[in-house]
Amino acid sequence: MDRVDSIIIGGGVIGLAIAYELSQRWPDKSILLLEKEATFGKGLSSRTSEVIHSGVYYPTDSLKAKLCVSGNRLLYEFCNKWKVPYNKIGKLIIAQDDKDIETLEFLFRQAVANEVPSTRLLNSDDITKIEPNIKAQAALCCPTSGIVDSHKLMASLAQGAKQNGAMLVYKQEVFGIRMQSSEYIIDFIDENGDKSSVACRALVNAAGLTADRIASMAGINVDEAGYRIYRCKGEYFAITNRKAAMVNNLIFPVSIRELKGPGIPLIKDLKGRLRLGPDAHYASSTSTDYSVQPGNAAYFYKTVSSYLTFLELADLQPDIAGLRPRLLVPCGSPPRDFIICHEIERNLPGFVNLIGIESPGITCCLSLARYVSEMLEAILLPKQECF
Amino acid sequence: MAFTSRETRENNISQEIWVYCEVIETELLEVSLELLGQGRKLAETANRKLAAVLIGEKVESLAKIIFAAGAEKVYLIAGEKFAHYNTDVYTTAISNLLEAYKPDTFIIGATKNGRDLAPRVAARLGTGLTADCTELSIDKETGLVSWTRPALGGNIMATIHCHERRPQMGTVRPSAFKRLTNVYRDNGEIIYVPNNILTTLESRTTLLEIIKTDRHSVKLEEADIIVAAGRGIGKRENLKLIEQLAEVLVAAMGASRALVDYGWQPAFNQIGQSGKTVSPKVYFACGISGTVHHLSGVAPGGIIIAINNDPDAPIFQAADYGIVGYVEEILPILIDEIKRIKLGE
Amino acid sequence: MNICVCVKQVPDTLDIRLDPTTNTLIRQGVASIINPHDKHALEAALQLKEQYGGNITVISMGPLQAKEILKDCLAMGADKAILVSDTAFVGSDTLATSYTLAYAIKKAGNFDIIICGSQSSDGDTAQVGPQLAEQLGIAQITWACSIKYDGAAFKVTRETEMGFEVIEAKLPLLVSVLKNMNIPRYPSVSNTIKAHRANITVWTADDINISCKKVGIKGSPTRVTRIFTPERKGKNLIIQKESAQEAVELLLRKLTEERIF
Repeated sequence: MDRVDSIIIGGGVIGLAIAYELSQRWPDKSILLLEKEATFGKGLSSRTSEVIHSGVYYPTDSLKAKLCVSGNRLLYEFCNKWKVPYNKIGKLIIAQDDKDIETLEFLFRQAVANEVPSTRLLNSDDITKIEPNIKAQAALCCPTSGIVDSHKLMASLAQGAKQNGAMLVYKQEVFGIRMQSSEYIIDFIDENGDKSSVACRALVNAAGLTADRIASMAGINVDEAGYRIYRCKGEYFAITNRKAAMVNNLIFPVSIRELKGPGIPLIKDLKGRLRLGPDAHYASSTSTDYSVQPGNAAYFYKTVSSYLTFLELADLQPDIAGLRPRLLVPCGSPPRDFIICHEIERNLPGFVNLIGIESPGITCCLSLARYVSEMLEAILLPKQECF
Repeated sequence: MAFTSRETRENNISQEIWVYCEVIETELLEVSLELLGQGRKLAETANRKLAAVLIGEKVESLAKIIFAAGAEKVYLIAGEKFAHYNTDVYTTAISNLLEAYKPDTFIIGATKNGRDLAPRVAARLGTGLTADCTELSIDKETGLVSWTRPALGGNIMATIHCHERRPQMGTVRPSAFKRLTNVYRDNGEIIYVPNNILTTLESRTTLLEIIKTDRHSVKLEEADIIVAAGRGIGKRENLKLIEQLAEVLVAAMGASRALVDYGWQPAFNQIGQSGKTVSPKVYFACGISGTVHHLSGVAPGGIIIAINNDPDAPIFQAADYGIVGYVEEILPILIDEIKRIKLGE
Repeated sequence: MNICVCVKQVPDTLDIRLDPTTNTLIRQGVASIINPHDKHALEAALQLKEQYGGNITVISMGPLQAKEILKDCLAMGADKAILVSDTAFVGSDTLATSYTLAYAIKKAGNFDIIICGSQSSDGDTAQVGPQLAEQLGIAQITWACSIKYDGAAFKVTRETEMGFEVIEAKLPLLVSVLKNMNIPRYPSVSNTIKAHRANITVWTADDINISCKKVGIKGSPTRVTRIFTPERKGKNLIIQKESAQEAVELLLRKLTEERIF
């Protein structure tokens, strides 16, 4: 049987960033990434808002907050180095009534506590100067927010990882994980239906929508562990006509669907289009339905028309849809934090599970990769002859 | 083997521009006539003669068409052994001819056989060859032929010169130029290439079979005409119209990512950044909005014809021709009209 | 069967951008990949090997970074990889490239068949295959979409303007293949791990005993004298307002005038 030092399951933005980070940190280690699709980024990574978040929305001390703030900086550095197209256009989180303003002030305090750089509150006059076509009473300006070409980002991570010596192998679907005398035996099936196995000491589960299934293969009871993933569909509508030029920043309502609020973000993408979305609906646990229902335009329009008064229903064109891996929370509770768990307590040393990595996953990809590589240091660092 | 510019003076490089006239089954290919038209313009700019190379079994009668199309001279290589294109036989005959008469420039149509022959000949003579050009002109300062062609998937255009060795050679993409609209002349000089020039014509390959197709099962990446559909076609049933249009045009079918995501089209038909790159001569974009990601999969150089109901769709910026209207209204009429044109032919 | 496959490292053409101020190519961050056509050439070689046995040597000419794509070829199942790399080769046009490859191939062994992708996605000339065949003094069959072997000769189907031709040729032979020849396999994990550990042979100009006057810029009769970006802008003849029938008729009239139909 073939042996490598480390295996990463999943070739989305997170898996790629981890392959890049591990291969950079340990160039002499053999790092193998297994992806079931024909290339990287075929799942949720390529169906997002492509927003680089600043880290305002997430509770202080949460992984999301910490990794988002540091990941934001790392991501811009990476994009500069690899010439990944991005635009640091900034985000306005807007409030339309007193209740919103209360939330906005809370978000501002949270931003300060999270050490998000350069956020400031704007009054309606300030907003008019920046965004004359947006109707809002107050706003929180987050200048470190931006937008990135996520495909190019993943291509660069893949290229960097390969240059560092990481092995990225596609069309290999993992179906079994066994522990055998302090190593993991990974069983996988290739495009021809041939089954094989490969052994490793460090195993990272970055399987996105199917991360819970991968965790269960290692014997983890996903319901007890709280790892069960629910697929949550988000649709986008685009404004491609000349009205797209009427907005300059990313515009986020104080409470967004993503975080169980009613609002829908407005994204100015790299091509200068405007995109509305995502909304959020639970889909079945095996759904791969990426269709956008044109009829949903009315709901989008109704939701955003109070702050985007220049829009008409006919301006909304169906865009893409994505599925996010959502972790269940009791009704009314805030969304769960990322689960990034080195399963030492479950007696699975060297096995790191990444569960529920949705927004702000792209922003966090590099900080999260560092976080994971530090977890694995104790496993990978000792000089053991693997090859 | 090669003759350089120093040799030009010593070896009496003729001032002739030559065009290779490709014949399939006693018929001249359109690209040859196009090249004669452009060759005439080059010859006049550079004050040179335009000659044609005609090779085949019974092809002498075609000389008249060639004179009409712009040449004043025809080098004729005729004989049974030239009935079908054969790499070895044609390479030797043409290379020997070029060495014997030493033209300054040799232009070949970038057909499948033209691109099989030209590099082999250029390598034998040790001269420079530029592939698949879309623009040809004479450089004012040097008098050299400027060969211009798309490269890097159509992202850039490059102009190439061959400074010293002769002949300067290039293949030129069909439809890049137009044939002359008038008759250039009724007849001209025919040089019957003597047999002593055409020595040792042995072939290492044997043609076993010719399979003619209506090119219906054409592959997307290699298709000359593509009919592609996007989200703007509205509903799945409208794909039938796209299929019908592709059928009457003998075109391949493509799709935007959205339709693949809907499951309306297979992934292998996807054109664009996450799909295939295509370089058709004619691209029908039906209900395609024309994002950068999509258009990056369509190499520049061809004609884009857009049909979309949104007048603001970016596809109209890239399009050469467009109709603002619904696919389900426009296509049935378009299909009928094209059928009528084809029947007329 | 002793098979040689020629491969080229190319920039992913979908990634190419031009710096608008300097008008030069942005090379940074552009992924390097195996020329897509060459993957089909390697797949054709792998299928021949599976049927008739033998050995596959992959040869590339390029900078040292091209080792990466040679590892990809080993991961797909090639037996041996050779990189021909020397600063003397920089600036080679197709003639100088084919000349260099011919020297490397002669040194690498006696091959029954040399398989190339019909063209590269960056240069897109389709010239290196035929020029290599000429330099090696062997027969060529271009635009191939199927290769069959009967124990003594190859039967190759090639595309033409009219359809297809079936051509028979004895060994040795150079075939340049189209993408519709096959569907390249994905590398297996096991071969990828093997390739990861493999050493790629690198040959310099001295190693293949080639005259530096006939390679690189010196050996190249053609020069690129100007590079520019094509305008991504159509003629923009947009037909609006007329009835559908009128619009179609006007469009077809324009297309006929422009000889598109």
